[in-house]
Amino acid sequence: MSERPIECSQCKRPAKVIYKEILNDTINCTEMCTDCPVLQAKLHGDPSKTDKKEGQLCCGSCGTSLESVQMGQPVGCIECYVVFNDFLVGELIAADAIPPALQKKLASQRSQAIHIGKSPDQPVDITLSSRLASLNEALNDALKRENYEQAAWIRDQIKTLTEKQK
Amino acid sequence: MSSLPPSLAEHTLWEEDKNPIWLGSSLTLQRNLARYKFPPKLSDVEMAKVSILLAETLQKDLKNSTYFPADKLSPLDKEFIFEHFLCLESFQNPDKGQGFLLDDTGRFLALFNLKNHLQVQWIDTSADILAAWSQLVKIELGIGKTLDYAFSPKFGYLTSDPTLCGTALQALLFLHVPALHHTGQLHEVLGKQTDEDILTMGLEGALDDLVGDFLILKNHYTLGVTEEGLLHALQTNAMKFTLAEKTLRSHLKETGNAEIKDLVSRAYGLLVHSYQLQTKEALNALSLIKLGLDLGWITGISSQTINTLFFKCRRAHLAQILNEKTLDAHDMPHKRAEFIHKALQGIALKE
Repeated sequence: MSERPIECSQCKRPAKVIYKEILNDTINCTEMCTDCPVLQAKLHGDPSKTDKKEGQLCCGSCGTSLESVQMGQPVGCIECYVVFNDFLVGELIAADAIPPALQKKLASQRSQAIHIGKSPDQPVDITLSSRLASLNEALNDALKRENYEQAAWIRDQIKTLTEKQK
Repeated sequence: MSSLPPSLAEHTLWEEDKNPIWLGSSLTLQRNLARYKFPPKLSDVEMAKVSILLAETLQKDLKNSTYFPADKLSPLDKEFIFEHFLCLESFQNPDKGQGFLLDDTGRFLALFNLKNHLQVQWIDTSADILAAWSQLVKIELGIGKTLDYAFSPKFGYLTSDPTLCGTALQALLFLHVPALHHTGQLHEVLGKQTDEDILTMGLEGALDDLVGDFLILKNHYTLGVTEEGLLHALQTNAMKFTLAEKTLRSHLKETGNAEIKDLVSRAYGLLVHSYQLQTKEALNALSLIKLGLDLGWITGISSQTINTLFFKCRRAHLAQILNEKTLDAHDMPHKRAEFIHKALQGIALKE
């Protein structure tokens, strides 16, 4: 069994190319695979920073084109989410990045808000109650299976947490 | 010599050994600032400006923290951070404008301009992901007081990779399940796990090669879920796996199991007598020794010592302990074996 090789940070394939950059008295070594976009960017410039093409749907703020997003390049700014809104919703559904129940709703109503978590002005306070709920669920499960040893252990955990809450 | 805070090298995260099965959790929040383009669109100079802005803002609340520009850290230091913080994605390729911020707890890590402007990570070792969540939210709110995050009511917190937007929260729970794995019952338990909000993986990704017998639970969705729901689902599932492993260990202790005893004995032989040891071999064998200790088949070592060895046998930790300057020392497998021999002195296999 061999030592895990240093991986290309972009795709996890074994690093095949060592790119050395000498800046003043510092040598930076970048290890990457042969198809690495980092290598291409080092050799030919970063296409994601200059991908604005005429006749394409582009973000007016950062110049990201729809084509580059379709190719899997990252989006470039807050505005991209507005410009590519419809495409992104479709992509998120296709990538299974949204729970199935919500996917069905979105299929008929694309303007619907997908985010249901906290927002910057409404911080949520998750208390110990969530942990207690998990333990209670596990306790009921253990009792149903008549596993009293497990149940006793869970009860101890609940007791410790309840004491913490007081 | 490493430029990282000494506290990072002095204490490994699992040395307290509060829970023998659920060893740790890592929570990560990704954030971008509203007034800047995302890192893939920023020049090196702009990235450096954002890194410094974020580092200075964080340091107002985290007094004992240190900022490291990525291009000033050696590959060894970066791998050390990768190992210490239980990261799954390497950050070896340095780019100007990227940076790290570490505090003296050894549990907090901020990464600047990797894929997003800010990635804050907290490690918990008390089987309490809500505690880790509280810490992260406190830090995130501190920054939010002076800097606006890129946020939309529809997509939530905006990330350069749209599949991570929404809560932009990723949680990884590390469960040590050698009994389930080696008795072949893990797949049965996994088969019963039908929660679509949860994904399972090993340290190297695939479940069929569970390195060190570590099962990782992670959230499937960051969008269309609440932080509370996501953490609750993970916690409930962690509890189920913990109970299954615990029950199986009790059963093995009572009845014995020749196959598992043989595996533990072979692991003992490998660790005590090998001339060379690769990281993966060491992790797998240490896992069995830890199981053997819990079942009363191994004596002369504490569970804490084994926990620390899970970290110390890895490449960057070992290189730092041995004062190596690079990661590619050819005799590292031999040095690893020697190091483990010393650490396991006094260990004995019960007949």
